[in-house]
Amino acid sequence: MNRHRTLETLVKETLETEPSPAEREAAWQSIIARLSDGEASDAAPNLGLVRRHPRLPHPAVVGVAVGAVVLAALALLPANQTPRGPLPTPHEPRAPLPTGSSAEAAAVLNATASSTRSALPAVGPGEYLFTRISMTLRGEGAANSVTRSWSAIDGSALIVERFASTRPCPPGRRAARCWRFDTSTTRYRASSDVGELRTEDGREMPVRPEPFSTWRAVVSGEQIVRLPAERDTLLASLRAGAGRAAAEHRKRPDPHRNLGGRDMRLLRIKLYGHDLLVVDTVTRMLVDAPLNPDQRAAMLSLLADAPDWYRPGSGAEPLQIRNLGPTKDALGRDGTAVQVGGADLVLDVDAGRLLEIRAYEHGRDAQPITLTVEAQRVVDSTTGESRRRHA
Amino acid sequence: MAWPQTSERGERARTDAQLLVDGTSGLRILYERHFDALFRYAAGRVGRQAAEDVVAETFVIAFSRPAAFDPSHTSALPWLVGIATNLLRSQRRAERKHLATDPYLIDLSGPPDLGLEDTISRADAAAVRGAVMRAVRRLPPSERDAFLVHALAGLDGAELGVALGVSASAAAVRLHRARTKLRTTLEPTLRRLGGGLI
Repeated sequence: MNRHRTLETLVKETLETEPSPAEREAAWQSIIARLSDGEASDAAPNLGLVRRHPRLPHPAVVGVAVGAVVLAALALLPANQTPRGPLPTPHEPRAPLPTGSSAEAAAVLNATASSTRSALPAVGPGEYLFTRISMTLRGEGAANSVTRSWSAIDGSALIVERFASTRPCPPGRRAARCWRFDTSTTRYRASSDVGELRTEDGREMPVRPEPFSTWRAVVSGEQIVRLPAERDTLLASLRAGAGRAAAEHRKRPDPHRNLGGRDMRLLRIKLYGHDLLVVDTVTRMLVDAPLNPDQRAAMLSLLADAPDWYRPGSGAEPLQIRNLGPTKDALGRDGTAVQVGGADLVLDVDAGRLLEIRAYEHGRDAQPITLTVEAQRVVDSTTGESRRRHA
Repeated sequence: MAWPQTSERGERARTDAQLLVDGTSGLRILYERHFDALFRYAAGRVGRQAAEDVVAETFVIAFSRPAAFDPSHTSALPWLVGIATNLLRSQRRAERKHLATDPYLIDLSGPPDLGLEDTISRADAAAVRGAVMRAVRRLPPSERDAFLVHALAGLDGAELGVALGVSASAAAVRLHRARTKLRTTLEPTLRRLGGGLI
């Protein structure tokens, strides 16, 4: 022991432990899961993931997750950011098309709009739109949640989500090992916009739709049948809804302030304007709202026109849409990717369907959060997803 | 330079204060910047298993209260270390247990910096580790905080004060006291083993 060291070196040599990449990743996953759960506080701020109604210690309803994710990506990325290198899809690496392909993007969206009329029939009285969505965080290949939803045109809905998350561990167990699966059920009744949520352990609580959480914050369940299919009136109606939702949200007591934080939803609306909420709502409705074929087509056309009507807020850039060309979704289905702001929509143009949303939460060169619409059809009961409608 | 050219995904340009309110992608970058230092600090105090939870909890708290960060500070690390230190206060037992680990059983991950090949020097090294852990364990909590934040997280001066929640001069006093005590306790052992402190 012929060494002279400083006290600090000596202590470092004795005590210091280098983190491993696995520990770094496991800790991040646990942070994400806990912030998404609102576990630490209501402030769970700019986490675009699975943000729900405050104080709900249960996993997200994907209806909620969908838009939150999309929004985060929209809000975070500069609209004109170009992908560097191949798109980070595990399926088919591909060089990006040159910029300026927004006309192509509009063409793809409009083509999907015209074929979407025959994609799904309108949901009739007593029927439901059934949707199964899987969500993968950070593209690890394993679904972090699977959500089944049944939505009726009178505004009633049943949403069942199975969600995997990390939880505080019993002593002696590695945090990364403490995965837990929760199933939650949210029910919306025809007359009310407040959902009733029931967790796996039997707790029940109300879920008030919030901006950037679910389309229901902007378009109430009862309004959905009256939603116009004509572009300008549809846009006006959605803008009015977005304004209402923002005002409503502003009126509520702000739990974030008590904790010294800030409400990122309000901040986003302030920075990015109401139209970000409109785009978010449109994208979210395309995933699981019981739209009739005309309404669905109008929604897609609205996205195609977005660069024309989108008014960015004080802190944002214009919305950009770009055609990214052919791709495959997580289930291996062929589709065409269109970038709308910070998220990519994978569309089956011929079938007129939205297959997948890839939200680039961590920037374009990181793995996206992927929401895959695995199945969607009109059914006549919520008891079995396999009972098809034979109209 | 307003929004400087991109290096490392263009993120180096953003300050910690900006990243903190810049959505999940910002938080991720902030996390990448400070995770290693924070983990080394926490793992040095309570061992790696407990450290993972402490570090995760630290970031959950920090991300939930971005307004608690003083944006005039360049680095968020002192603030994060301060949160971790508060959390570690409730982990005194874990820390004592960690410091009481049998020094002969400690598995030093990474290259054995002590460069010891034979059994004797291994035993010497273990003796030094044992002495260091005992000495650190005997420090009063506030001085132990000061010294370990300094040694393991590399914070000094005003940043040390931020992490400990006291003024820079109070932090310096605590650090000085801790170093004096450690030096007094450790010098004889080190000298006996043919080493010493600079």
